[in-house]
Amino acid sequence: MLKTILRFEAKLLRADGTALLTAGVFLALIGYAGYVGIQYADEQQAVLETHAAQYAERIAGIRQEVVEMEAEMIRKGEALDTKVELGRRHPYMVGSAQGRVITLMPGPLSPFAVGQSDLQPNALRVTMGGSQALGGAASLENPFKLLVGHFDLAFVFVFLFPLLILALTFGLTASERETGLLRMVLAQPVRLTTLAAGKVMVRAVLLFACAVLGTGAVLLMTGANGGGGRWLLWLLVVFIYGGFWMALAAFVDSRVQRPVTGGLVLAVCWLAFVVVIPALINVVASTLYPVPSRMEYVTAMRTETSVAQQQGAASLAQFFDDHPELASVEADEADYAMLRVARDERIAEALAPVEARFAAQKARQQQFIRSLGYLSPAVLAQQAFLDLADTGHARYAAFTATVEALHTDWKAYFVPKYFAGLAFRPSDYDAVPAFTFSDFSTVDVLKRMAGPLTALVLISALLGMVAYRRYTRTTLIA
Amino acid sequence: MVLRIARKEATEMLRDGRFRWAVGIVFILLVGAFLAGWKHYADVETQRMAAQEADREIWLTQGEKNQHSAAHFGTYAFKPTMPLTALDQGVLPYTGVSVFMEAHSVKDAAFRPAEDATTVQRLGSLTAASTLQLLVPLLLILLAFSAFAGERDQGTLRQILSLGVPRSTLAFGKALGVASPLMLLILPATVLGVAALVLLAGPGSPMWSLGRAALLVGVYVVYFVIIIMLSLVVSARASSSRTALVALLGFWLLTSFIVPRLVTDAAEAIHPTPTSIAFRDSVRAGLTALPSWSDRVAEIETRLMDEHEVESPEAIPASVAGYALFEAERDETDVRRAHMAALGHRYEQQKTATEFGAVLSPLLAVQLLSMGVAGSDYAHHRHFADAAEEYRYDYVQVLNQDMIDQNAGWDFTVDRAMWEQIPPFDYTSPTAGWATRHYGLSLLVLVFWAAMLLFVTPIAIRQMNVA
Amino acid sequence: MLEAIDLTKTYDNTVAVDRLNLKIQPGEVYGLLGPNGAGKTTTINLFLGFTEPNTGTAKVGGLDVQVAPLETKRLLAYIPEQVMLYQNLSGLENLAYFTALAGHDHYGDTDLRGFLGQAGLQAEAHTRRVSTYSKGMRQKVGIALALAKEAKALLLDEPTSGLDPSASFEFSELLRGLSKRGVAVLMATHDLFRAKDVATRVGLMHSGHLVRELSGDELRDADLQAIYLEHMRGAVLA
Repeated sequence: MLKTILRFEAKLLRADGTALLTAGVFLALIGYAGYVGIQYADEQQAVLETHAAQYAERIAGIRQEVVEMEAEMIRKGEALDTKVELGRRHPYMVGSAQGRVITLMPGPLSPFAVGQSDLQPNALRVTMGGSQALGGAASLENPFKLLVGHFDLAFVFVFLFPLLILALTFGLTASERETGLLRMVLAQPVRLTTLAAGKVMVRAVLLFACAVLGTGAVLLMTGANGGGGRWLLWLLVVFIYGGFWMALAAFVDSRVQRPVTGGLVLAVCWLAFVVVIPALINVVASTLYPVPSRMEYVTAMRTETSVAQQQGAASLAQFFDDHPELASVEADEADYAMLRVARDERIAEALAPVEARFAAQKARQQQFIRSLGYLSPAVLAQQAFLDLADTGHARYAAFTATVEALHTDWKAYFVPKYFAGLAFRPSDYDAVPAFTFSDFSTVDVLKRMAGPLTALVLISALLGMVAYRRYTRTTLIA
Repeated sequence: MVLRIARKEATEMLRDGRFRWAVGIVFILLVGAFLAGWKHYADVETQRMAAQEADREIWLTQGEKNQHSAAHFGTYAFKPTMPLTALDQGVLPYTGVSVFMEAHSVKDAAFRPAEDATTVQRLGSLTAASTLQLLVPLLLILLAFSAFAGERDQGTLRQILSLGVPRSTLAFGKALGVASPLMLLILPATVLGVAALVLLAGPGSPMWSLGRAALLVGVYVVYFVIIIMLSLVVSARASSSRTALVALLGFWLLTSFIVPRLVTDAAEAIHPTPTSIAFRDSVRAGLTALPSWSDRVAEIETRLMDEHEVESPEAIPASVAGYALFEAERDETDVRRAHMAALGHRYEQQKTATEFGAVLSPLLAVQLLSMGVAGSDYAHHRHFADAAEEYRYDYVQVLNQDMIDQNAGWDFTVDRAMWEQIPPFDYTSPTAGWATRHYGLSLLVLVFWAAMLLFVTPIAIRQMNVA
Repeated sequence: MLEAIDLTKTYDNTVAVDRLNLKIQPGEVYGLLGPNGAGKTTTINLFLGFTEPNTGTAKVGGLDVQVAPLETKRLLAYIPEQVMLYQNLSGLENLAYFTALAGHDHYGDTDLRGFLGQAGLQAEAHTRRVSTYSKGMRQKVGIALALAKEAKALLLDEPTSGLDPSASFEFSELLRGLSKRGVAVLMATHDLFRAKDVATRVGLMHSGHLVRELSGDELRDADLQAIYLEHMRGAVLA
């Protein structure tokens, strides 16, 4: 029976051109979004690779110079392991002047969602003093473009995909009810629930097939380097998010008399879930938990820098009190490198509470949004998509934490070298702390998404069940 | 006659419970968004004033040091926000809030608030402007789509026209009918907004804001009139009210969500933004073309030796460092400013392309005009950044000139008296006229839409099918 | 074949069908007459299971409609005033779908064309889209469906209203044909002439009550219009 309905509904969708139109529009949207995403990701990749390559080249160059200097010194019979002045052979060259450039490479599915990657600095230079952002791929992006947003696959699936679903399903049975056709159909030995299920399934298959084909093609064009698992999860999110809208459409269809009413109700639901509630969550979060303006941060930093500069000697004395193991030099023998270390540490200490306040407030905001996000399936889907594309909040937070860890290692490695003041030998270049970012695996991403997705499945199931019960009532027909 | 029709339309709407709900919700969102925007504006302004004051204090108390060290110690300019940004945040979240002004560096502002925000902001932010740009037009469409098509479906259109009511009168009445409940929404909101501006914004800002507020109201009124006329045209032409609704919702969706993205994509494809690396490399290339520091010093030494008729550089009785710094600052600034200006020009070109795109979506013109008039667009940001750059160059050169005047070397130091000679950074935001001139094209496109519809509406209504 | 036992249906305090007792044998054509709101359509809805009776039972082929809704529908064919079909499909495609829904998915195109032919639909119309069909042509598709699903009972709701006289006559002929095959027909109608012409029994319904039944010779000789008006007026006075 279901098979008959499926076959026939497919025929109906083909007959009036709906199937072709929907598939055409959907595939065109996916195609354009994929093109935009791939272009963006390629540019991003190229910029980051350039940063990394330029850094490697510069470091190799300096190292080569040092090798040559040492060769010259050996020729002259000078000792190599001696105290050195600031310059090529001083550890300051690598520890502070050059630092280490690290890049957050785009994930395998990054062409699918630009996400926050156009705002987050994804190329950083870590030095003794901290980490500074280098120009990322999108750092010169026109602010108006940032405001309007990108036409990427996340946009297509979060915003437009529900509309396609609603356009296909808004009069699921109501339009046949309105014309009286439903009476003809139900005069045959078939249940309304079977009929509705068949109609939903055909539409689901049509849209899902387009999603699979379209995104699959985009994935193949990106080279699919290890993105298969994430792609499957993407499809899972599409399936669950689409399932929600189908269930909602069936729910509304089972409760309205006329398809126009159903269409209006669904349009309002779309507006509420996709446009208004996310915007509302956003404004409530930033009003309840306002992150202090960075101006405050700047002022705090300035004050501490100024104080630390004016009290250079005092800062150093304080530093030696805290690090007696390094107090091998008299304060008046301290060179620029040592003063910088002392000053940076003092500033960092003073700024720690300010930074902590920032971080705490941001975390509160994030937490608030994570819990309020359940009010809107669009928010849940967007977060899942961004996580899958590695352009969301979580991965960047993990990256930042790893950068912090590298900074700590960096200091632990270089501070003794600065205070020993011994030459930084070519072999030392291999011993500097390395940056290893253990990227989120597909399983990690799945774990993050599990809660929200389960919630979405439950809500959809509930809507579907209520719709099912309504469809079993005969009052709909007569 | 017109008023009677309008009154009937308005009564019908007001009696409709769904309509009352919709207007109520939009009103609450509008006021809520405005209040949240106002709080945000007030918070940020307070923080800014405190920060600017604190930074001045830090500058003055930086202690004794060389002039050039002070020029590197630098000072900050914090971007002031205008009261009307409580209505429309525009690109504020995506532009930096502070410029660090130091020697040899022309910078755009840093610390974009969006970097500290959550990912949800990219789904859109609720501001009074976004409510006016998205939700109110939707409300108008829902009110007006059935104006003719609905009456035709019911058969009442025949009846009314058989009574000898001129079509134009009917159309005008319907338009007024749709607009009058809107007044319920807009008037209190406007009164509230103006009252807030007058009572709460600091001194001077009402004068600054009221003209702009009036402009803003004008822009939105024109936009709403466009939407109402368009709805009437579609309603007159559509075969059924259902078709009219689908067509108008499609228009709303396309112009609100799809066209803006496509147009900005196109603008960027036509006038590509350089990558950060390309930009950095071209600045570097420009700087490398300048004489190197040692060449510059050598050239100045030769010049000064001639001038003072001494034989060795050591004998020069003037500040070689001062001259070198002054001239290097001048040349480098030229190069850096040229590149910044080129980037600004690129954005400007993209903006113009986007304005042309408004032919496809009047909303784009409204968006640009709204943030332009509110003072939250890129042009205002640029204006501020340019002012900061002017200030930076001037004060750095005052310090360099002081080195020259005092015949200072690298270890020469000055104190607070010098720091006080540098005036604090004082920024005046541009006038409403400046802002409007900037969006002449948008204004033109908006007027084009209105004119086109003024022309088309009577024709559509004259040719409307009655049955 | 069709049987109503004390069938009662009320909607919000208005009685649509009141203790209706009715039995229609195979081969019988029962004309249910009455003004708008008499309960004719509700009766048909009760037989189709589209609405639930408050008390009493509607039976098709001895099966309670409420207990075995799908089985009874297998025995029924339903032709409303306006036979609604999928506009974008041809008559043949529509018939294929409806017969498949009825459980007869074994028919080939030739079989289905045969049924359409038997129902009187010209061969050239079979593959045309239904949106081009006249009302009479749609009705023929409905008859073809009854033939194809081998219905034992036919429920007709105002089938001839809006048909031109020749189409109406043609329709009567088709009904007679079905009746000869042993199909029980329940026809709700306003068309006294058509009822007298084709029905073997006639019932007059008013406010949910079956107020008068005529059959056989009584029906043949009766001035149906006079009886109808008398009852309706009487009912109004009462």
